[in-house]
Amino acid sequence: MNNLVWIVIGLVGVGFFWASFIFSKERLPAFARETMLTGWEVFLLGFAIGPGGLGLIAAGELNQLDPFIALGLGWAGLIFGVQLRLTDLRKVEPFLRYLTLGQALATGAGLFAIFLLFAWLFHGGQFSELVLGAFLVAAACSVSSPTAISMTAARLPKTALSKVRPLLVVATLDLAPALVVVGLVFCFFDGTQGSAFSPERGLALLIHSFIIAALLAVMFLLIDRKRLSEEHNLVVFLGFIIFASGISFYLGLSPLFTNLVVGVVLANTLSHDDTLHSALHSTEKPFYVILLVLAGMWWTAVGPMVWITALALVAGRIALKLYSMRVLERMVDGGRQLAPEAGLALCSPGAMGLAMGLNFLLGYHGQVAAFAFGVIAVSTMFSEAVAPALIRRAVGMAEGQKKTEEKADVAE
Amino acid sequence: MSLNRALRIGAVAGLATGLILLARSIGAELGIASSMAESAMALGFLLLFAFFLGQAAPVIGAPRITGYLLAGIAAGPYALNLISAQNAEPLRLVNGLALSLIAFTAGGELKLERYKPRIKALSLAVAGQSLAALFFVMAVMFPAFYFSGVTEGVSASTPLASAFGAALLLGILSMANSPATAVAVITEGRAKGPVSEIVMGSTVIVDVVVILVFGMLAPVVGYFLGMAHSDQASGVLRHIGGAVVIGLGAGGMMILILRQTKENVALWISGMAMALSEVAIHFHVSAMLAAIVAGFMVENFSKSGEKLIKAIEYSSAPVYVIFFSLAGQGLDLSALVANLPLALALVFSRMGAVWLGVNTGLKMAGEPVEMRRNAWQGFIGQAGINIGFAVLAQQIFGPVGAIVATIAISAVAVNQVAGPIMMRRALVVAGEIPSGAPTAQESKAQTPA
Repeated sequence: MNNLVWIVIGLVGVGFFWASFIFSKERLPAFARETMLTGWEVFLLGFAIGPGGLGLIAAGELNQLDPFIALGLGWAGLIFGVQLRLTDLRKVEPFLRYLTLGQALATGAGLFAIFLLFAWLFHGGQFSELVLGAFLVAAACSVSSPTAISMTAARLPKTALSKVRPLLVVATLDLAPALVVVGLVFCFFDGTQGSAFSPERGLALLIHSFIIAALLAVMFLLIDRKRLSEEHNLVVFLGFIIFASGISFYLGLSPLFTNLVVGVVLANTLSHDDTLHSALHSTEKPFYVILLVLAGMWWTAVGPMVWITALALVAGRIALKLYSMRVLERMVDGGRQLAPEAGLALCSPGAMGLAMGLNFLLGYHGQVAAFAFGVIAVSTMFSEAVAPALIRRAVGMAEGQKKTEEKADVAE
Repeated sequence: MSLNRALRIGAVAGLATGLILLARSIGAELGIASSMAESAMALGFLLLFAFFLGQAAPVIGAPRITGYLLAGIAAGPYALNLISAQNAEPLRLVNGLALSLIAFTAGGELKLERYKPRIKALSLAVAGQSLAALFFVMAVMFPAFYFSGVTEGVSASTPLASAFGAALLLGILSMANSPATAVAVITEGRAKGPVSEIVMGSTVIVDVVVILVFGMLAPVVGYFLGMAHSDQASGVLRHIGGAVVIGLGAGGMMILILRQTKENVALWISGMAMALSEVAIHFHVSAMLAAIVAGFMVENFSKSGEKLIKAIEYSSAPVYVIFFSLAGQGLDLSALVANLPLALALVFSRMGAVWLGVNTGLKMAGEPVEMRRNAWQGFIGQAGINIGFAVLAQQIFGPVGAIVATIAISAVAVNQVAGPIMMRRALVVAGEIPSGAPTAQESKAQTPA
């Protein structure tokens, strides 16, 4: 049977699984529920039906799903971009801004070195390709998932919640430097010329990407959305995201970055209660499913070197997040408000890491890209599995303490 | 439409066009254009461009789908060439999804209880339209083929028999309608009434009739063209039987899904539509027929019909935009220009036949004159099924089939644009769509929450 048939049957199966269990996680046992904070299980199901898994879908047929990938990646960039309102960012305490940037840079630099070393030892290839892969892996594996923190925190005693808020801010904002790195990498490394570093071309593309993003934002602002029904707004919304992402793909740019820039422009021009925000949030679940399933289908590199490199990255990430936060907390005013082990709460990269990896794989088709995406996938799953325990520990809720506080809550 | 709104629409469409041209010029300058990604850019552009042209269509009294079609034509390879056939090819999956969702709606609208009182009118309208299209078109096109000499020397038989065979084939192809157009125009205008019901029910049934007639008369066509085709009848039975089996299976699954699922029903149904479309393509059966059967089953054999229609309604706007703009983009305008006299002869003879057949059928059923005056205009639209049959005719009947296919596809280009306009006009005249009133979507947008 045509493998495309299996794609769609698989998508239906995944959809049913997701609809029945993931959106209603109460049905799952607590231990399983805890490890599925950001949907990596859907990614795994995508892998199962993809060319790297059971092989129900041939790699050549995945391009039929390009528009859906464009939609998923564009949406991910846009939903983050529209959160970056300058007025809101100014309200963030300065020490949190320093902590965010400091730990992101330290973790990114560390992970860059780890991946470069392991890829050079185990994989080989052109140095420029390895550097490119290291940039992308560092960006994808250094981001933190606020969803994982908030979902774990929701099950903790009320006393823990105050400790979580600053961590949520850090986890939300540390995506920004990573996405900027992704955007710059796509501009400066030429995918058509063996991933060579090209400053002139990069600068030209960077300027062009800002112009395109600005024009896209202007186009969106010109649309008289107030007169449109919910369904028609959906058409505009879908068309806009696919168009923006399509242009980015066409020019070898990152749709995540382009849509991030568009989102930032829109966030700072639209009113706070604009329907764009509700449209983005109402489509959040289905778009996440689409993105993660498709990302799973593209995962093909599963060799032992991928697992070893991924484990090294997970260990490095935990250490780098923990110690960079610990050092920075001592250095900046107000940093001591956070627990010494606060960095552990930032160890879940969530779906955005996978999205960056997928973006990389689609932009640069070489072996290094496949290896890097495999490493990102495996490390994300490892990180997600250990994240709940680490987040609890970070907010001072180790098992014994958790029970004591739960008792205190009950007594109250 | 206010000047401000018109200017905004123009500016957005212009910006979208400008952006795609800018991207192409940057790509050419830096030598980085990626063909892999062109389909995504094309789809995004088409969604926006077609949507805004659709917004402007009611100004000239046309339904929105005419705007979507014109946008597809404008962006397609015969006008601005912003979307080539090559970069539209990967959108087949999206197109199949849209077609199946439209067909679910068509099947879901066929509620047996509603049609029972109109069964006589429905049967006679179908019979009248089918027979008139077959014989009238044949009668006009036979001398046209013979005297123009187009079919002469391209088959093993005599010029007279060859022209007759070609005219018969074209007659069969002319019977088909476009349920997708009927669904889109009725849904967009929220039309309700006897004309809408007759058009909706008949266009779906006629599609099944065409498949049957094609199977039965293909050996006759083959005989006149000097070819032997004995397996056509069994092939047609397989075609219809396969579509019905797939449709019943999908319908059963959808009933289960709708019963079990409370959240994200639209996502679910979309997944089902994609699966059905791909399975139907794999087994070489009509995806549209299979999806109609599935929708019909859910509507008539479960309590989930309303839930299905509501789930599809939520995603109906993007579905129509995608389906009809891609249909416009795929129209072969070069074939139309090359065969203009014969194509126009076909268009007008078919139009006359539809008028005569539907009128006569409804008169025999005792329907009032207002109904007869308006209903026939709902049968003019033609789309995917005609193109499918034209391609099949080309494969089966060689050079004569290719000539017939080219003329049939040329006529589809005209009917596809004229059909929705005529149907909407007829529904407005019949009082089933309020003239000048906001469409379904607009009225929802303007109603305070």
